[in-house]
Amino acid sequence: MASAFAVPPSPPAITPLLAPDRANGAALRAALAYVVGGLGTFLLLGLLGLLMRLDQGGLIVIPAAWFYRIMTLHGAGMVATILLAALGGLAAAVSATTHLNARVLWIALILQLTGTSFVILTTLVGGFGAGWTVLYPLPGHGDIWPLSAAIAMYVGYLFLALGLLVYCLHMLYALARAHGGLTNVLALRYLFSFGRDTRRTLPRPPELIAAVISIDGIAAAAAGIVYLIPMFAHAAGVTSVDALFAKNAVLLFGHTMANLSIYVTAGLVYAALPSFTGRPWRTTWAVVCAWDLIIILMLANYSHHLYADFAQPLGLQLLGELGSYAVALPSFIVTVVGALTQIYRSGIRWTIAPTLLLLGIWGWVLGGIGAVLDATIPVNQVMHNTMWVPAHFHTYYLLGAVAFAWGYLFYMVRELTADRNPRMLRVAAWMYGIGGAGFIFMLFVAGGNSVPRRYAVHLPQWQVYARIAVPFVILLALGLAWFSWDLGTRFLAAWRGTQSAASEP
Amino acid sequence: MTVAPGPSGFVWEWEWELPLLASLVVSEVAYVACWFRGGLAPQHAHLAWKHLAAFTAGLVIIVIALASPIGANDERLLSMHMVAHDLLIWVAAPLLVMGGVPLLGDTIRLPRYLRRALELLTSPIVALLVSTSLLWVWHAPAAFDRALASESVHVVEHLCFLIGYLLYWWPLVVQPEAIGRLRGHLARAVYLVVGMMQSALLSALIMFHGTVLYTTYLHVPGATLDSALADQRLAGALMWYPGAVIFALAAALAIRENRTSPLAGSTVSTRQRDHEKAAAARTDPVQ
Repeated sequence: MASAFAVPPSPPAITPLLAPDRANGAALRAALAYVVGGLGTFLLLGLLGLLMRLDQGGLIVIPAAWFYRIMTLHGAGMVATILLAALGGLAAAVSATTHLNARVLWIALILQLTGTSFVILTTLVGGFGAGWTVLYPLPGHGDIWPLSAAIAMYVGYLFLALGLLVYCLHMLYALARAHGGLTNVLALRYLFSFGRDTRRTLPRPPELIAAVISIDGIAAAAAGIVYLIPMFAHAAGVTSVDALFAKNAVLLFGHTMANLSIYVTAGLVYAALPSFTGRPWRTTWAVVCAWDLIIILMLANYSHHLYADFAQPLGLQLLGELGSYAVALPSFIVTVVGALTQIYRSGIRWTIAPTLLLLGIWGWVLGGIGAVLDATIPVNQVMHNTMWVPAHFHTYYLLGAVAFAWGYLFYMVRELTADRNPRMLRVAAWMYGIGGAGFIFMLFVAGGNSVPRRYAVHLPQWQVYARIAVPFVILLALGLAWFSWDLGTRFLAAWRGTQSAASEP
Repeated sequence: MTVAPGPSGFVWEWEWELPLLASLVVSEVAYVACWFRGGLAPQHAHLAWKHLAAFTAGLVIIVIALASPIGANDERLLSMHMVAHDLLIWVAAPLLVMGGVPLLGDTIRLPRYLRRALELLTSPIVALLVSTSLLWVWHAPAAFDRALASESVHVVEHLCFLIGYLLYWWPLVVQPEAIGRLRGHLARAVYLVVGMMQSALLSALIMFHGTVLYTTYLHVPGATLDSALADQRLAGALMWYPGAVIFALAAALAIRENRTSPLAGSTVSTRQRDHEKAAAARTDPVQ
């Protein structure tokens, strides 16, 4: 009798990025556009982050109205662009074995870029500064921006939600078609038989993760649309809105979008790391169980942002706390232990891609610890409005998701150009890691000392944390500039590497 | 017949102007004649009902934009003026290209001077620059107010928009083998996004501007500073939001896996192959 952790019938070989005859070339080109577009915008939005930190350190002076515009653009833009890069990476990984329609990927990308353009113009031209959470009723009642700016922001979010919806629906359809149904992509029979039912070929881990992410993406997009409909109605003067309902809906949308980008990029590790270690990453029962659980747990943890709302039902508060704990455990343990098992005595060459992937693992773990602390109700009561919260999500993003995404992009370029990443480039990865860690550490220290978040003007005694962080941010920026320079010189070759003689020009 | 609007009411009458109507009718008659003849170069043209429908629909949209209550009120309300511009550049222009270009037949076989001129004007960078420049220059307050003050300048303004956006849509809409056709998903996506971004920026500048940009609208009977400003905000939104939807739709239609004509949904290549097969069969001595 097969044990719960018996070797499953998943394809044992390491799947190359390029399918035979470059059949996935068109999808890979769309995926490259996602990743490069996402990470390119990330660089620009990162500069806005540097401006805010310089302001908080008292080194430059940004008028408060402009600070909040920049903060809104930085926050909303980062969630959107990192998710964009993550979705591109996932499409590339899945396209190696599953037919994805490049046209649909491009349409979803253009919808996302349209949404992003709305956010940029609304903040920079329209003066909108209510924060990326656009929490009701502030957007409609801000004294320093017109109602039309709030409406334009909502329209931008609507396009972002539609783009995500198109991508997720297509991904789910393609996977279900390739595997003969959704239950097979999620390996539900294998899961509920505790690994005994091995009659069907299991999906590769990136395919399983893509299905999980797509289901949550559809739920998040639906929540976004549910939030936006009463917001439009309110802007038109039709009705008043229940503020608590609005906050629940917008955080289910926004928090899940943020979570998605982190979990999608973690999924990229499953696709890329085996090609460096030479060991296939099998779809074990533990992997299936952990990722299938994510479907529910990722949707349950958003309400840890509502602990301060006394009107929120206690059940939802507890669900937020338990969901936050539970979402961390399966994916962390399986992914982190799996990655370390992959690396252990594999003889891996530490070029830039695996270095960044490993950095991402540690960033994810450290960000997760910060998040679990913040999700604990008594801690949250004290820390939620301090710099502790930006510290934890910056760890998740900068050292986790973004490191994964850059690592995956370097992996893609290596695969498509058949050209090894230069060894010296590892120095840039160290600069990125040390710069990022120093910058984030000072956010944690500031949070630990109760420095409030979302303040445009910092008291002199708070400024020291930001001042210490600035050299680290500059080191981080130099590392990123090195990444960009190197990729810029090799990108065209990678693009050509996707094209076969018969492919679309 | 021009109707002087009341102080606050919306004019529900059409503004029929003879030169406009005459030029549209002549265009339609000329198009239909050429269409029945099989195009300007019949041996290479492959015209279908959808081309006739697209061209006719383009002309009807021009009538709606300029002669309907939308056009009739464009000197009273900036928002109506923007709707008229939207219809001209985002609906009428692509429809006219879709229906009109196949009339030329195989553009590669056009006379050399005409081909060179087309290659230059419809190259994506030139088309983008021309359409963007015309859109921005005419929305400068001085130029816009001048157009509102003089009927002939107003006509020139609309012609500029139409010509600029005939060029803009050309690389996306024309049949696969035509001159100026933009190839590759990335190129088409970038072209669409740049086109969308520049018009979105202009719309946002109009929408969020704190004062009335086009002062003519302050002198409309019954207008106040607040009403003119609210109208300006609405005008910006009417240029921005439908524009984004149009570009998203255009992306859905223009980015395709195969080489068939995008927005037109044309199967010109297949038709051409059939046509060539039939021609070959006619000349085949064995048959």
